[in-house]
Amino acid sequence: MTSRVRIAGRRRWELEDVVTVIAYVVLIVWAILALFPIYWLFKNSIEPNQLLSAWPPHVEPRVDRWTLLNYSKLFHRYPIPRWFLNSALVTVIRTGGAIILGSMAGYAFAKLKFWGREAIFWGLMSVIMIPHFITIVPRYQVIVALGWRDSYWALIVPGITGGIGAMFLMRQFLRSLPTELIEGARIDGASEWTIYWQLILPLAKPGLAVLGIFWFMGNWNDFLWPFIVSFSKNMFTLPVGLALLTSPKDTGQIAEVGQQLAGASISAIPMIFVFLAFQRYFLKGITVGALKG
Amino acid sequence: MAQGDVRQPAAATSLSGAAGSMTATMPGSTAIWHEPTKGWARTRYEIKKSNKWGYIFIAPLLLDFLIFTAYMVIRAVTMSFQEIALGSTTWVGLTHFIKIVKNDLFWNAMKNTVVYTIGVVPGGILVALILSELIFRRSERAQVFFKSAYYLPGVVSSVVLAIVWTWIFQPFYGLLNYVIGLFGAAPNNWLGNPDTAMISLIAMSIVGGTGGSVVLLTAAMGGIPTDLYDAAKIDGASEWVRFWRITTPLLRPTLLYLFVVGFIGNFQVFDQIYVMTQGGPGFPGATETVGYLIYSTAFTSLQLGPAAAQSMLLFLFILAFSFFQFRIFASEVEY
Repeated sequence: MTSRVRIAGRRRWELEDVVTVIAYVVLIVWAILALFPIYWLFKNSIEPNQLLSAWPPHVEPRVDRWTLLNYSKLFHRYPIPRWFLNSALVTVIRTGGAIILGSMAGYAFAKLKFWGREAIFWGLMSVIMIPHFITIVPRYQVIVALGWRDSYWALIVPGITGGIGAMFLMRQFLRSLPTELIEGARIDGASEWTIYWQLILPLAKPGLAVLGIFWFMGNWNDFLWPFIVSFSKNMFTLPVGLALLTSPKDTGQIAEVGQQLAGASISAIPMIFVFLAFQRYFLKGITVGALKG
Repeated sequence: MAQGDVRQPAAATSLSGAAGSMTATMPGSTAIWHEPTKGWARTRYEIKKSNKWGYIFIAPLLLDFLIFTAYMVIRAVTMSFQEIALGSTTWVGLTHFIKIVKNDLFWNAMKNTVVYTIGVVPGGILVALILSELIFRRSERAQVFFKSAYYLPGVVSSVVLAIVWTWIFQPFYGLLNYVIGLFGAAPNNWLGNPDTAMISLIAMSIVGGTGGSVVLLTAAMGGIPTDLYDAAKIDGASEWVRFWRITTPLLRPTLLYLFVVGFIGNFQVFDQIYVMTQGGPGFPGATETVGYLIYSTAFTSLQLGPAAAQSMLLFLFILAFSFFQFRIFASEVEY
């Protein structure tokens, strides 16, 4: 009996060892799969376009051939700085809108008592399953009717409050704050706005950070809506411009692959920096991030 | 509302009909027993007592919602029953819906959408579940590294990923053909071949999309009490049994969330399709999804009515699938 247990124990240890090795192999292979496209993107964007059609392809970086030629050609042919600024402008304003207006609504639904609060809240929540495609056609019509087609208004205004998702995230976050804090401030004679601005917002910083990061990412990467409402090349955001590079609609010819990859890198780099800077927020696992829209 | 409140003070009953006198019971007043408990008077009282700032604080969101969502949904519903030409709209009843339901293109798009979604969501979640189980017992450092690696492709635009992957799938110089060539397989025009276009898109989405699910699943795994595993170990349950009998059932809320949100999102796939295949190859398009069909109906063919009707059907499918998932996950809880 004793010896059987001992043997079982030893075998088990060896088995676990093998399992660990297999686990690491699987994890590493998947990590390579996930990261490789990003590597391939940057690598090929800084190597001459001709190298792309070399066979067999060079998986390793060709440091000796590094060049910014793809970038300079791309900048020469397309208004990349303009697209970048459009993206930045739209993203910053919309993210700011979500932070301020979304947290205002979230705070009201979490902490202020007013008639119809729950009814309005559930009325808002009831539409989260409605697909984008239902609203996009009439939205387009209304934007045209307003004369907003091909303008910043169209890119910025619809959904500037961050939508139900932003409100819901802040409501969930602020619900855990002690109400006595707010009552106390009220007794001290603080106005409701002061309470929100000087008491709630500073306390809500961790929630606001999550909101800001995820909405920044969503807005920066958003494609469908800007793609539908912008027509002149100067009004494109980066993703819309990138899609143009891959389509022959513009000059009858798609951009060289090296240039496409250079453009894609320009769009990807800011987000990768945001990810690395705020890694812990991304890895904490915030469910509401996916509720956006 | 506390309609059956037996401890209701007598004074309140006498006041409940006389809404006019309610002005005396404003916030700040100590006369709580004036509070009416029933009907219109109660409503009036609550409105009066409301913190008006609440309405001001929700006003921007409400406006945004009413104009750009609620109103648009109503318009979309209306449009789906209308024929919209330049400057004129005619009521056509169910014509669009009947035409769509009889149209093979729509069912092809529906089939593609379902195939894509079923490939990406359950497939992706299964991969994420395996990765999470493998990651979970590693050191903190290894966890951060692997989670970051899996998450990274998810933070860049889908258009960016579509551009790189188009090049990886490229038939003549693409890396994928090179790699499979090393194993002796014949090259393939991945996105140009109707048999492989969809599977290529699914593979791309799974590879780039596991990060978020892994993060959520490992977080949920951290919440499972370890004594459950210890008890199972004493009872002689193998790793495999512990994973399927303890971990997976206890992850059910997270899995439900991933399934529902994943289905809603992937049913609307558009960006990759537009950049990589334009719904093709072949006719009817091997990767034409409902989202792409709605887009091309509305913005290429300019048939707004039929596009609105298609979007209604898409919504119905999303609702049906979500309902179905809630049922599955709910029923399994009671074993």
